[in-house]
Amino acid sequence: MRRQIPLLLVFVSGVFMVIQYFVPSAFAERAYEFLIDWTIIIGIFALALGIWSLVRVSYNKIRTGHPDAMYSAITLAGLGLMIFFGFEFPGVSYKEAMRVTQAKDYIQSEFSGARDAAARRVFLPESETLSLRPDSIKTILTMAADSVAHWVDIFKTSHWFSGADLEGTNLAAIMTTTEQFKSISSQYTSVSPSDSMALAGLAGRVSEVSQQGIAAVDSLKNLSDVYPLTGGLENYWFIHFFDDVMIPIQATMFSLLAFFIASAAYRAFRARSLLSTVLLLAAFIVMARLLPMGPVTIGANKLTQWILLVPNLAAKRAIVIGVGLGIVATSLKVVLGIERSYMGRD
Amino acid sequence: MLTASVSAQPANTSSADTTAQMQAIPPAPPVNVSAKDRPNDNGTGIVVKWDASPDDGAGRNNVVMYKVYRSLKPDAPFKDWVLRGQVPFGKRQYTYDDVGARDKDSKDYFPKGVDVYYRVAAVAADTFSVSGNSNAAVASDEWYNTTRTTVLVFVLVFFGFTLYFINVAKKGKTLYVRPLAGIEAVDEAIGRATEMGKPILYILGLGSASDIATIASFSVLGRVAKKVAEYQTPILVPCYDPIVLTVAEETVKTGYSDAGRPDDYKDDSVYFVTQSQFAYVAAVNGTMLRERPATNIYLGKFYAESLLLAETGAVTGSIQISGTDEIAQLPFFVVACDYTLIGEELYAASVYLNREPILMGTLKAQDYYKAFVIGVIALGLIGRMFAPDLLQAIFNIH
Repeated sequence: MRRQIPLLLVFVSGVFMVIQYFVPSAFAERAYEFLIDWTIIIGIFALALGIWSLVRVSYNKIRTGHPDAMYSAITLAGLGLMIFFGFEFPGVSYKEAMRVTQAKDYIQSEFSGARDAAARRVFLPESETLSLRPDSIKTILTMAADSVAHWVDIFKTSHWFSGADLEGTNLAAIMTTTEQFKSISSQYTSVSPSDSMALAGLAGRVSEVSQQGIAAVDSLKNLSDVYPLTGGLENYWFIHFFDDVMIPIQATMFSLLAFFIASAAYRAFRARSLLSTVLLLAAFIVMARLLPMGPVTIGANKLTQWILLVPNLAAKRAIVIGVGLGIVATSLKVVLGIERSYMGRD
Repeated sequence: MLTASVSAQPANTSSADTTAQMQAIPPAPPVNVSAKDRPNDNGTGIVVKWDASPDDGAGRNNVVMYKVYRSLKPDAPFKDWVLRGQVPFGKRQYTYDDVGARDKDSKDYFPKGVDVYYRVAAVAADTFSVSGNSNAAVASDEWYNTTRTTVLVFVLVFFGFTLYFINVAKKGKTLYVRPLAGIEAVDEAIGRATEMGKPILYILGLGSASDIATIASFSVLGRVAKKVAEYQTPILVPCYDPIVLTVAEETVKTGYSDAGRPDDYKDDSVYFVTQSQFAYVAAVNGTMLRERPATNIYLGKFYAESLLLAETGAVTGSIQISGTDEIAQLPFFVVACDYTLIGEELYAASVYLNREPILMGTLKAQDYYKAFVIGVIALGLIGRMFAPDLLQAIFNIH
């Protein structure tokens, strides 16, 4: 009975899967999705078993003083730390603080950009200020005001600031700066391009207002104010361990492939027999198409196309057909209960 | 049928269009608009057909596209009809598959089991005209996909072959299976490991337990586990997938039990590593370099890690036996391993090891079915030359 029930389940599920392939109705689709969902659920439970296995094996190595115990200790430490860092401690996440910091940088650059543009219009000689006419300064100020309003919206939707912060003086000062930008920009319309005094006055106003805005942005909370453990999967340590340790190591492993391909190719292309000589020649032709050698490259390109599309593809298709039939046959054996190795027994 | 342009318009047509339309002469509307259930689907589609406007490619020749509208009420004002799609001009007859979503929560939900109506607008540069209503059509789901009849026939033929050869094998007829060098080398490799006092490393690949390559690998693992239990050689099975881990544990335990040495099984011989591809490679390569296994067996589903593993194994001087159905990885295994099972040979390995009549029957069925497929391919070639239409009809080639 212990074996019959799983076999019956496999048979019923297997036959259903075969039938549903031929049944397009919504019922068959839903049932298929339901079964697939179960594989995900089982996978999640199995992951716990996997982690238990890893912990058990590593712990045993440390306990028995195995020569590789050091690696096991590092593994367990990494596992424990990442689980700990992944806990959701209350507070703003590092990623969110990064977003706000980026918004602060953009606002400051808008303010200083507008200030500099206004100043350049005054201090540059007339011949060099064509691109910075009074109406263009007006446009710069209006666009800066709009852009700042957009970045301030990020503050408003962020947990980085409490309601009190949002209504506080710094944010109000930033918004006031944008209003003043708009007010000054309208004054540029009535100024003659040759009226240096008036332009200098306006530039001074822009500079003064910008400085107030920049000071207000500076007074907002900084990234360093973030508690490194808050924010769950977006906290400082979790992100840095993953992005700055895990990913570079993975990339390193993957890049080793280039060297391994070279050493494997050297072994494969040693012309020890007729077949390996043919392989060597084919490889030479395929590589020759990449060489900048005019007619030789063109000829090699044509020959490469033929090699890839005729003998190579024919062999590939033969393997694919064989694999396809093998999959169907093995599936049939599993469904009919002939193949039972997945239950741990032949 | 409405043959004049309409003054009302659907919600997604701008008022500027209407103004322009009053100045331009609209094209004649499309004719013979019909709708019917989309066959072989899950009840979320209607096929709309219509004939070209007389001004499409002729007459004023000003039609640039057609727009298909749908409504549940045939007498609804045109502004309430929903735009479902657009079709470029240039044909005499048009077909549009109006396919929606199954779930009621979706914006694109297709009403099932109720009458739906269609109208088609012939659109010119600044104006358009709309056809009359199509017939009422109801989207319904079907219980058999007729386009897959060919597949069903081929599956049934294969089932027939399999059942026949299982029957033949059961009657005691000897069925020949060509030797598989890779599998024959397993015993020799285990013997070598025993002599050297080194472990055997068995890698099941990155596949899940539902991959056929992994299932085939379980069979070989069972045999290898039994042998290593008999020879008292250690085995290491680092796993990538937790479900594969649980099956592999059971398989190895059973192998030890079958060899009459259940107490020799060590819990730590089958273990989970990680589900990160290159972290797994790093762990397994580390094991290879530290433990120096005498034999490495790679059977299952492999991807970019195949060469990283096999080359490291070659560096450590292990005998290496590999097998996968991933075509892109086969060349890597061929150059780096001593023996490689190519494609279906991996599936045949368990049969080759077991030699059970029923399993042999399925293997024979595969061989004969391959001959059958080769015959069908040859017929297809001939058919393609002499009767292409018939071939297209049989195999639903469009």
